[in-house]
Amino acid sequence: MSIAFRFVTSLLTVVLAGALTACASTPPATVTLYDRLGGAVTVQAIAARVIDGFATAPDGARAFDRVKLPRVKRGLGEFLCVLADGPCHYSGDDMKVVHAGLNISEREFNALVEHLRATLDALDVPQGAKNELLRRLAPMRRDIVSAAATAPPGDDG
Amino acid sequence: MTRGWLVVLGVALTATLPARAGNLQVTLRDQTGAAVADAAVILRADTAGMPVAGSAQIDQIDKRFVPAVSLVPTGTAISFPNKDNIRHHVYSFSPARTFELKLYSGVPSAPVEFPEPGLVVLGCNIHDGMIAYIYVVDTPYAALSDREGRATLEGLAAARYQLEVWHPRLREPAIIDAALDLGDAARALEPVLTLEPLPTAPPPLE
Repeated sequence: MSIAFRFVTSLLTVVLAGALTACASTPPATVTLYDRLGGAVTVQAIAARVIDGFATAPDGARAFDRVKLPRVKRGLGEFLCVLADGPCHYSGDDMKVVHAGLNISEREFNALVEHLRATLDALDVPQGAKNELLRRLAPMRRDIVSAAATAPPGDDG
Repeated sequence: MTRGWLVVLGVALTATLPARAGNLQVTLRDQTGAAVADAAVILRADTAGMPVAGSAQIDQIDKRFVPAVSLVPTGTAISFPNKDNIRHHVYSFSPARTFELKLYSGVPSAPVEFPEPGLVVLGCNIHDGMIAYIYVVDTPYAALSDREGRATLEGLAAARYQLEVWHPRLREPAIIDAALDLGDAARALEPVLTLEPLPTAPPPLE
């Protein structure tokens, strides 16, 4: 083999190695919705405030009658974290199973969403992140609201 | 003449009947003088033998366990039918039986066996104030005290017994009398228990 050939081969090898190494290096980190919401501290605060506020509100008290709230807050925090692409594992049951038999009405669900909006505003969550979170939560309505629930609050399910 | 025959018959029949079994009535009070309801009153004797295990049921109705207090022999299998529309999650940390069971409305679940004697305290992971007590006893002579603190144990063979009382507010089983000789008579006792303050709800599962 000629020296020139071997030189070119070596050069190509070095260039390729360099190119491959560049491809294998870490890409710029993507910012998740979880990050944009404010990470763990904010998401846990959202969960705690929403549950504390709603469980004692006129439209929420019925569904939360005698329910252990610390567990619900923990579960909601995990759920929101996963929904926002955060580094969490949701250990609870799916929304349909959690709410089965509770007869949640449209009115009650809407009241919860309003509490959530107010909480996000109170925690100064940026508008874009807030809207994105609400958008991702919207499909939960189907799993949470009972088709049979038409009764006004105060009616026991 | 007929009367003579009847007398002989009467005597013969009485002679073949077993000796009258004894009974024991226990009336419990606490240190304030209040009647103690829902305590387990237990008699142990070497000759007592083992109780016959069966099955029992504790419903969930309106976010409560019904009955709230049960007394069962060791080896009993207890089922937990959920009669609410919503799910429950029953659990116990008691050494006599540690377990957890998710109970979805309308979905039957396998019964839980209770092979060890002791007091089992149940809670619900989801709901506050949802507590049940199960006394699992390894003697056929056991009864729950009623609202007046009264429990009656009947059909007792003549023997020396140990009388114990169990209650959630007792730190450990109270041995009322370790050498109680019971014959075929009726006996009544009125022990006074020193009860601790009401225990807090069982610790949450998570």
